[in-house]
Amino acid sequence: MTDDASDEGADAMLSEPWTFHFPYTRTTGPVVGRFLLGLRERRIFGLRMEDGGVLVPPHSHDPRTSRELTEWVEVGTAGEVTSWTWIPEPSPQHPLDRPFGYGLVVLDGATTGMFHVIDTDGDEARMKTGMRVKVRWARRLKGHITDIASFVPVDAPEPDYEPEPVELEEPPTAARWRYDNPFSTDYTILAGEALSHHLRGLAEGRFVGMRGPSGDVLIPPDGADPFTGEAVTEAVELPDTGTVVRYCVVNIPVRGQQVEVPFVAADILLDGADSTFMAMIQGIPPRDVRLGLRVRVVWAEEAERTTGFESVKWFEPTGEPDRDLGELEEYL
Amino acid sequence: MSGQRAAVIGIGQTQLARRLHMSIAEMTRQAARRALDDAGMDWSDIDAVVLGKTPDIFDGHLFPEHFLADALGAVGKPLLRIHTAGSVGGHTAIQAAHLVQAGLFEKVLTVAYAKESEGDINWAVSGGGLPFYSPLVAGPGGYFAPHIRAYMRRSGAPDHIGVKIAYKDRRNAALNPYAHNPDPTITYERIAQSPMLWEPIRYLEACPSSDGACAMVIVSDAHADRGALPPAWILGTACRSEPSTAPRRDTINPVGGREASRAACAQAGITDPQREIDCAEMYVPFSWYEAMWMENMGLADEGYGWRRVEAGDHEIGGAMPINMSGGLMSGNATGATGMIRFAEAAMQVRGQAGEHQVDGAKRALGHAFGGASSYFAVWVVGSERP
Repeated sequence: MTDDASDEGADAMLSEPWTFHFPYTRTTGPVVGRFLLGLRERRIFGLRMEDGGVLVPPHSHDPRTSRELTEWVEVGTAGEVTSWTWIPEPSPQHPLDRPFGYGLVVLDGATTGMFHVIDTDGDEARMKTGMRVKVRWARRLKGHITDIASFVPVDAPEPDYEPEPVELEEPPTAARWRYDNPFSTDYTILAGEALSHHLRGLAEGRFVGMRGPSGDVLIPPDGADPFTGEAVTEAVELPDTGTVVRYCVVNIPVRGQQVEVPFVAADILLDGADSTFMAMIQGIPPRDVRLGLRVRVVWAEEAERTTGFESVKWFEPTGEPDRDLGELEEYL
Repeated sequence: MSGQRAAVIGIGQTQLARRLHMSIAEMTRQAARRALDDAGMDWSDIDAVVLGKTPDIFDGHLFPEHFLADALGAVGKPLLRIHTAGSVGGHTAIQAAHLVQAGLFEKVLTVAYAKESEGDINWAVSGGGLPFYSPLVAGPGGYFAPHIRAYMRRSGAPDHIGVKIAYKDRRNAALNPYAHNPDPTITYERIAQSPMLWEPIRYLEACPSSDGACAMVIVSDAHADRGALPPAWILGTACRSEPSTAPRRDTINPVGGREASRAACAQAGITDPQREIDCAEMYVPFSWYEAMWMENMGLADEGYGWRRVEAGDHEIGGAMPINMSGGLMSGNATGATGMIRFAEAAMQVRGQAGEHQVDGAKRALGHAFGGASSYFAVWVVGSERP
């Protein structure tokens, strides 16, 4: 890993923490669906493999030959730990807030290991390969792998609750079983040096592009000249005015967009720039927008400006005569 | 084309739809099993697997090769994953072909899929709110609509061309057994009167969002006759990319697409694609792009794509049939879509396309593109052994 302090140019770059989050929904299909719905009834099912062994958790196919498996087998809710690792300092994303093990548990009647949590009340000394464990069912059974809250030593006392299946609106079917799978990962996003120049300009209500070795002024710049691949290094301040070179009329609301439909989204060629970017056009009926229309940016209020594209509210007509399309042919 | 000859001898597809009753493993296996059956093969016959999928943000799966290795018969075998946005299915098929042509493997299974129903594609296309990058001001269609308007201006194409293409594709989709909600009663008027979303793109000129998978078995010369049906010989393959924000880039007729078609046709010994290609399957998410890509692929003179549409050349019985399967109007399972185009082209030269077969098709072009018209993959397949 590179130390940030030794990372050349890092000081000149904007960076922001960012959490990627989305609530994906998984479709299990009939095989995994049957396994998960079995958990809801505190029963564990596997599939007979071609070598005679029993695959738990089951998949629709043999793990070695890839052929389809069809013979269901119910297995026990206790088994043996065949391998394990210890988590001495759980993070917030771990299932338990005290030290615990992750292990492979071969349930009685199964021949493959199930990867799951082994809970020994934080005591690593109790973890042994070959130890006998049993299922600790969750309080609420949802038809999810976490219906098995953990595996605990076989002699552990039973919990002080009776596990209960969560009520469903309609009877579940294995073939159409789905579950929520919220996905979340934390990142630190670096803008890069060239883009940082541009973004800092936006916060001050200025357009800053970058000139590359080919002579083109790029805005927003992504750091490299698209023709030569060399770094763009020369910041160039650009005016607030430009020309519409492409556009469309948007008639459906766009997520996160504040203006009412219909509105015009246009590719704008800023005066002095060689690349275009998309922005909204306001202050003119959509049907009157045209190629060559001269426009000026409307900046967000100073207090609302950020080092982000929100600083550009939209563009409005300047009232100047349109540009001759012949001069813009390379962009049309 | 240097290296050994390669041919498609097995093709499998799944229904294009929201597939809520199967997992990703089951869906991809269904396509792969159908391809193996077509090829007269079993899992154990395969030497290597090449996998492509929908962009990770669409379905939230980052390591599909891990959980699909055993599902796709890849235990103990090389399993490669290819990733190039929407064009991925085309690039994946080309990579599989190259492994055979390079002489590394004799029998390669290639699979591409999308399970868009597990995520939210409109949210995903917007980038998930990644800092520092410009938001998608106008939504997904809003990126492409200005380029369509620019094409109309440059070529003088009249307003109704997009409707005409969508009408042809939606009729063709009704002939495709895998199509997503096909409607045999579709009329020109209904498309023309459907709501204008991103002017000039109407609702029924835009593709649906689907789940689905496609698979092919690609083999060397020595195995080309194993299936019951004749092979589709891979005559030319090419991939090109270009930066989406390059100044003065021609987004209507991108140089990357032009060069990919030229290179693939040159390998196939084709000097006049308009005369020597019998039909094509192209990646057309919004109907207008058919006219634009016909020009880009060399299947129409520059400025004449829309004229070929106007003349009806693009119909199954026409002079240059395009998207006989219905193209993306028969469903868009992003990760699979490029491979479906390539597979449908191969189905034509194998005489396997059923109700949407072009009589006597000998050479067909498959096309995929991705990103902001930034990635291109093209292959040319033929019925005659080169």
